[in-house]
Amino acid sequence: MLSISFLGFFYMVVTGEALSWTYSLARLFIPWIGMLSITVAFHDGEHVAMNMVPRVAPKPLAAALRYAVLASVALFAGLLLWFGWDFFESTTQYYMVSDQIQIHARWVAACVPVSGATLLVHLVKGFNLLEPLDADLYSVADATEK
Amino acid sequence: MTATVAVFILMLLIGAPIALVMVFSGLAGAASIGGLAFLEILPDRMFSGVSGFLLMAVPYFIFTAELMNRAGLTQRLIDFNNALLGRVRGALSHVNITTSLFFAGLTGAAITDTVAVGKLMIPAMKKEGYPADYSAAVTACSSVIGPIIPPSVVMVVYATILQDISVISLFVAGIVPGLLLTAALLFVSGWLAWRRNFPVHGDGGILPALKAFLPTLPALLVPVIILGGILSGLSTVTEASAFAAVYTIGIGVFVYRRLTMTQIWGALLTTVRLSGVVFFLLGASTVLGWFVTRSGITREAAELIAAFSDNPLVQILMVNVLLLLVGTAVDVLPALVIVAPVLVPAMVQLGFDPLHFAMVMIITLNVGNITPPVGMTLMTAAQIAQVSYESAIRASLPFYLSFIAVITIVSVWPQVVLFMPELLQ
Repeated sequence: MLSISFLGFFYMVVTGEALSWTYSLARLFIPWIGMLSITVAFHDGEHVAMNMVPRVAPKPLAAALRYAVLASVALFAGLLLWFGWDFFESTTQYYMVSDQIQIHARWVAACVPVSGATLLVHLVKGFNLLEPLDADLYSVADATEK
Repeated sequence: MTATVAVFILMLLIGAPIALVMVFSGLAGAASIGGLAFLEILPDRMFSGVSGFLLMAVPYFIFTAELMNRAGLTQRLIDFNNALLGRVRGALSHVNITTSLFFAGLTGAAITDTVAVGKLMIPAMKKEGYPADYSAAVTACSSVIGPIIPPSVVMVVYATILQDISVISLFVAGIVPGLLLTAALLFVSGWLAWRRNFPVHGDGGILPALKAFLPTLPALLVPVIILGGILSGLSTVTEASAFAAVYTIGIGVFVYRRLTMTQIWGALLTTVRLSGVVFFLLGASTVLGWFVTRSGITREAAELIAAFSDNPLVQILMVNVLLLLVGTAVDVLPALVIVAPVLVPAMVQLGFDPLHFAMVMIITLNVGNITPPVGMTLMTAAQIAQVSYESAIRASLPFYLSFIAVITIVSVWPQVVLFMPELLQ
């Protein structure tokens, strides 16, 4: 996607004219990137949550709360897959990339059920799905020190 | 409405991801209107929430920031600022702030600034005798400049949620308040350096500063490229951000000679993870926003604010207190996507300029980065400095005064925000 956007910018600078298909093509990618990155962020425990109550709760209650959160993630993934499939099937439009190229919007709408299914697969990680990877936060700065 | 609020509070308390809280409270609201059949809004709302063309700039900005960090730019910026301010009392404290100002033009995310600058500056400050809690405090507080000076991921998100405001106007409007905040933080830093007799760093001056400036120049061109490209009409925000990312790869590989394929791959992975957080919040906000639009809560919020006072000054200061309170409990982006769809239309209805209120909201919510109980940036800085979160909060108290001063100035005098956009129109 980066190369498509860069090409659009470069073409505009060199020729002074817009390369319209780069815009149209990039638009097709953005929902896929958006939806799939949500599942990656889940996989790596990046999503922001308020953990004050689970932190101070007695152990059995804290464990129950973690089960509840995991269940809510599973429910969300299930709803995305279930209703996302209907969304995919009911999509009828076409994207006009250029005069010659038309892409069925189902190819883009498919990102919703696919993301739901991917998130369901991630659930095999269990509670690890809710754990942040703090160590990675610091890897960036470590790299600058070298 | 009751079902939505109940689900929202319950899920927030059990520690569910905030985006998930918004999805389920929005779905509860939808179900209360049209039964379980209305749950089918989920895919359509999520899809439209992550599909905005402007959103392409988010991963590009994050990627650029990650590449800059890995290319070793932070150390060069610190060297340059040390050469500028080295002879001044409390030099490293001031350098921490000015480095954040330069860094703000490159990244636009407070936590990135804290990690990158803090990892280098906090140990250096401790070594020169600065208290560890103070080092954490000044690092975290100065990183708040990041999302206010363009480019800013927070501003891109804001413009995506409230589609009647231009991200270019937001970028331009952020320049003066960002500089004002830097000046206010430098004032507090200077006063504390004099009171506590902080050390000078060493040699400095014009020639060493010029010498240190040259290696940073290719990187400092990034904000110039982004803003110049957008303001000249040569490129859109997304194209300019894409060009900035490619340009950064170029200087990282060929000028700084620090970027390897492994580091670029690592930057890509981090970009996907961090973008996922932003995209989920945006998708979720459109699910909750669907219900908010239909519930009439915006009109009720406007009526509630107007009921307290018909004086615009009291109204905006009252909203500031509310935003500060929200910011203390919730991180910036989630707070923005929860509060903005309700408060912004209400304030515009009461006669406030959308751009002015946008900047007030962005600055005020960003202060939440460094205030308890959920001050993510301050927590991170405290971790790096190896001090308790509580002592970092105490050390931050003097800097809170500069934030209050800037928020008050920006709230009371809209021209501070509107001056630059009007000038460039």
